[in-house]
Amino acid sequence: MAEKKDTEIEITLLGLEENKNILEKILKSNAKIKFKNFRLFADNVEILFPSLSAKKMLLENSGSNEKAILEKLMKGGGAITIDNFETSGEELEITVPSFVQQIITAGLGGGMSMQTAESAGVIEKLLEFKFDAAKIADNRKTEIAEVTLGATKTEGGSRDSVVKIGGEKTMPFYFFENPPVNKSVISNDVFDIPGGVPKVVRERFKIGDKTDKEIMADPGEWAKFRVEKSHAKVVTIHLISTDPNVKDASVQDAMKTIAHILQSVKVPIVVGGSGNPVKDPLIFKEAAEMFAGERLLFSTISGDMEYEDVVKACVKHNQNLGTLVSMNPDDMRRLNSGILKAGLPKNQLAMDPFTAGVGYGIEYSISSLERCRLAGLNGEDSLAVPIISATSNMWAAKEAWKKNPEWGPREIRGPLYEAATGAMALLCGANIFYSLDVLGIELLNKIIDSLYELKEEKKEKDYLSWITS
Amino acid sequence: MARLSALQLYKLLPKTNCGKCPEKTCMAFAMKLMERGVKPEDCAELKGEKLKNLKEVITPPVRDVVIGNPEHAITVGGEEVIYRHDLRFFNPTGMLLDLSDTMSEEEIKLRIEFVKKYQYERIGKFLKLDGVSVRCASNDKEKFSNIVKFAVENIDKPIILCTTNPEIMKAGLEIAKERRPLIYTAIPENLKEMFELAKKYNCPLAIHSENLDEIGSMTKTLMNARWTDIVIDPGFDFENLSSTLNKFEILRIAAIKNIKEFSFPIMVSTVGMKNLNLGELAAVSEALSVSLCLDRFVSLLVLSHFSEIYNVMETLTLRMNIYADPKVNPTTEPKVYPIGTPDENSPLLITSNFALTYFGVAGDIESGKVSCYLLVIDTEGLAVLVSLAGGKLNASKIKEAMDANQVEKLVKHRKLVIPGYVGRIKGAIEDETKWEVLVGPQDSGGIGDFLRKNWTGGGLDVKTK
Repeated sequence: MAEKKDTEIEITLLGLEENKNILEKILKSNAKIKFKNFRLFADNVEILFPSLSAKKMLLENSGSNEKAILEKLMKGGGAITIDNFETSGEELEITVPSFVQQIITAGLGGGMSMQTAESAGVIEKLLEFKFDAAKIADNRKTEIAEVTLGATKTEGGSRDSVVKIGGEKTMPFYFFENPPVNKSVISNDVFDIPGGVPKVVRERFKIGDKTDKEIMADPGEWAKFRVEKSHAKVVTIHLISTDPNVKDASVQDAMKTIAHILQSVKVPIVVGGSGNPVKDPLIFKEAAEMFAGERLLFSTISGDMEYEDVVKACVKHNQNLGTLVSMNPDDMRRLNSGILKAGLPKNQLAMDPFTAGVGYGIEYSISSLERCRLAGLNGEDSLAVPIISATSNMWAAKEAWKKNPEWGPREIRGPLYEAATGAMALLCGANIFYSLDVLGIELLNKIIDSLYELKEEKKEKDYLSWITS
Repeated sequence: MARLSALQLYKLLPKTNCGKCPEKTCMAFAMKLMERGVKPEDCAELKGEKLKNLKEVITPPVRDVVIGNPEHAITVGGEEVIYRHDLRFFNPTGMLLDLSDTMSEEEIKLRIEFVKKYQYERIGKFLKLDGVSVRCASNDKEKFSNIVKFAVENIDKPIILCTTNPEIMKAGLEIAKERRPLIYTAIPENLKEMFELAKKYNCPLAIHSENLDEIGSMTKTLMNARWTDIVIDPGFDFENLSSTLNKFEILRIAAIKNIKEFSFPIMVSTVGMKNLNLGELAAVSEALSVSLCLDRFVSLLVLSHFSEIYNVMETLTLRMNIYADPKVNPTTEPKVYPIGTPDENSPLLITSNFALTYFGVAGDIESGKVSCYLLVIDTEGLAVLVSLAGGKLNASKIKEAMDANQVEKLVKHRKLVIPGYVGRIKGAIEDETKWEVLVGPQDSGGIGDFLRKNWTGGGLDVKTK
């Protein structure tokens, strides 16, 4: 764009907002200038010199011709008329001598540097500096509750392993305040009926001779596949068939499915509903009683559900309960307060402030998760509970699953969107993820593993070798 | 430094309401100044010491550093908060593509072309990379000079010059000086020489150390020499993300808490990841690394991969999300939008007023070559699935919107097409509106086919004039 000739330089100011200010400042002309949707009326061209010393420096660095003009300019109160002036379409073109461009540099953006440059001193030796992390560490009032998923036989359940989530004393990975307590965990998605899983995800549902169809036909097989293929530490059974608009499977059917999952795998189980406000509480209550002592996590209760009976059953039979509020920490606090008031111990509660995918409102999720966690650490008891991130929500976005050569192969693009969405939630405090894609799960696990322990830094510093590699 | 109020800023202005700037009053200027809508230099009456004073007062806790000449510059840093919801993040992370003097000419051309041409459109905005980073891998001044020259001649976006050898750096600067590149990088061993170059060519200076005390020592030394155009590179280790992120966090939080030695933007390069033998997951691992950096305060990044488009696409999208102003929801005006050439028989569809949803659905209907009315419902800027979960989209809201827009006068039929995800409240919508409800596809890409298959009653064709 800047086409340089010997003594002249051409500047084209395009319609960027920031250039508007530049324009206003450096150009005032009799002409009417059309600048996108913006009009400028002015009388004289004027250039502001940043400071006396900057003027001096400009003079020093200028050739004799330029110097003469500059001196004239400076005497004239820093006013200049630019002659060669034309407008074309939405762009504005002005031909100015190259040294004027220097002045513009001095007056804008670079202005401060200009001052720095002329006044900068010399370095004789490196000064000492000692950083003290205690100076920046915050005092947190509350610890996040620690929730236990699953119970072994001796604890009254039937699991081989249990998983603890939560327990944080600081914002995520603020090692300078405190190390994380429990590693965040990925609960692998299993649905009670096939369908709704994008093709690109199904393609990785393969193990041994088993095809994706065989795996997905039986939720028990699907759960086994998760443990074998992805070493799932937790599995979620989503009871989507119970939705009256899907299959309207009965509460009893749902109980059979849960029993089947509990028999098929020995890891802790999350029980996901269909989102139906009437049916979900019935299922959760029934399952709490039927699978007493298993420390299931019911996912989730939202504001439009009657939850008193579910809470009672969870208290009596030692189960965990999740809550869901879409990106509103105040509503989250209200719902959780109600549930705690109804009698659920804090260490049996987890919350889902909603995770939207990259490109689909993830910024609201970032703020929503961070605000919930900050409030929890700063004394808001009802928010001092582990965070659920239903990461696989992001598969609703076509950027994840759609075949489109301009976007690159979806076989990796989709898992990237899932892992990146999970990684953002992780940095904002998520303790348990519901994830779908095999590669997405592998990638997110890698990040979780690499983040959890503050390792010794390498003795030989080789980072800078990127320059010469 | 605590943010000054508009009133505090007003006190530092001439208070003359002179009318020489576009603001009506000095108070209005002060308020704009607080929101960074104007710069101190925009005040026509403020000069000399007073201008300098105001500039100093509004210097953000993470200083802003400009790379490039005024026509093509990026500003990095300039941040004031740790959490975006406290205010906002101001200057999107600069993302520059790596060039090396050991790459083939063809590869360099390809990479430069990519930076120049690639753009990804989202909600009417074009997302692009910001420039190129040129490194001397050969340790050969001639080779480096050649590629710097090639870059300067072929791309006008901001440039970073990378070598720890001051002599080679000088050769590069001599060629690129008018572009005001970032000098990368000073280390304790060459700080003095690199600083002299930064001074001579008036270019911003990067410093690198993996040790926080050493970083502070270098910035303190530079500040003592009255130099503040600094970017800090604390290193990046994919195999030790905990330590890497811990440093990012300390640098940002310390800056906000007024530890001057750390009051500078952070940069890293993920180029070194290619030595990790990550195989086919190399690009995706870099994208995830970049994603983590974007969320953890990194203001400038040098990237290695570009031909795997998903890498660039995901990270540019995430950058736009993270740096979006949390006070502003990207929304579309809730009303009825005719798409194609609808008439009284055409279908009536509903969707949310999240801008991205609207653009996506409207685009898909157009490419599906059907005519219809699209009723955009005020879901407070949330997407369909989110607003449904949060109660911002429910039967009574839909009924309200239908009444307010008098859709019963628009079409003769009484059939409403709803997004697939809204199917779960189909019954409630029917009860509330007394209209027949057709549950459309979950993805708007299927609307064209869906309507051709399920819509009876006509009005579907797009008439050409």
